[in-house]
Amino acid sequence: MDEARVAALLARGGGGTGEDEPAGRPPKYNGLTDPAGVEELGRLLVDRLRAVAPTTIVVWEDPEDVVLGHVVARELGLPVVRAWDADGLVGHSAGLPETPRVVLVADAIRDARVVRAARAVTDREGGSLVATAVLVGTPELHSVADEAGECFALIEAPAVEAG
Amino acid sequence: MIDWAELGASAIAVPDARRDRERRLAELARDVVGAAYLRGDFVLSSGARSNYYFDKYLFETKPGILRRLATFMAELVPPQTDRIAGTELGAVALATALSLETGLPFVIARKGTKAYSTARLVEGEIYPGDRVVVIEDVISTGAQAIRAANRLVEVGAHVLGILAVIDREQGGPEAISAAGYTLTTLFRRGQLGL
Repeated sequence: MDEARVAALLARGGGGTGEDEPAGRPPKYNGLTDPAGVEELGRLLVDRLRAVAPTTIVVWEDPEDVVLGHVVARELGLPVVRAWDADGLVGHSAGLPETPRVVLVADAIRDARVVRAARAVTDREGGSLVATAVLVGTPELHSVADEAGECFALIEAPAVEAG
Repeated sequence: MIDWAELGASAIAVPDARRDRERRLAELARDVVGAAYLRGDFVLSSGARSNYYFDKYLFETKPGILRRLATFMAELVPPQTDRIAGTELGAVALATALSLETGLPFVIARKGTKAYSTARLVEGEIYPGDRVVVIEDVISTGAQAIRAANRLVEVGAHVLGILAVIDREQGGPEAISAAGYTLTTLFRRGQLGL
């Protein structure tokens, strides 16, 4: 995979690795502004996800991630479940089956609690969080790598910073 | 001429009034817990599992509890307060009740605004220099209350303090103090037996 191509697609959607941001955090990627770009990025994630045989895609709150999650789910023929913080509780939309094999999809993980929440919801249904798939790998994701299932990132912030 | 009988009655009445207040506050605490304490299998947004959840909306939507909360919270509002501010969403009901109790106007501090919205971060009438007390329902980490207080400062208000119903004892007071604000709560989690 061509990281320069990924970086270019991220930039088209207002995203990036965060190397130019004051706090070093990746700006939010918004596929709504670049439908062709989000299709391409989503398919790149799909290529890596088939091996873990997921049954459900979970996204956290943001509409931008719903768009990315939709592309991934459509390519895999899976439903998308949206989860969110409801005043301290995790709420989620209908469609989370029993014993799901879940992939959490996001442009980037900026808060490790998102991974833990997705895992806890999945565990409650008797399933497992088999992977976390992101466009940009972050320290927050890697800090919970042992809870996130397999971690797939198209690009890593440190790698881009080094380049 | 001193009426010793009258003086004696007052001397007795003061502790009686205090005991009565404490009794009413304890009753209120029991009713708050009774209304909002739920047992079950809950997934918290931290990712932790819990066999109970305190659903604040269940006590914030009961007029008999709201009215009594407002009475006790009104005692804690500094006299120089110009305005109170309720944080979106739950504390708006509290701020409304407290506004009715005290006669002070209130504003609503939003969690955030959508890019497509015309909403402001602080809804309602507020002016630079206004002395404001931030009202919150439950303090956990304190992050939401601090955000609300910061937003009020951004619009030029002077935040006198943060007044909340419950401190969940999860580091909120320390965080609020570190942010430069003072916190007063009616109840601490331990007092409620949670």
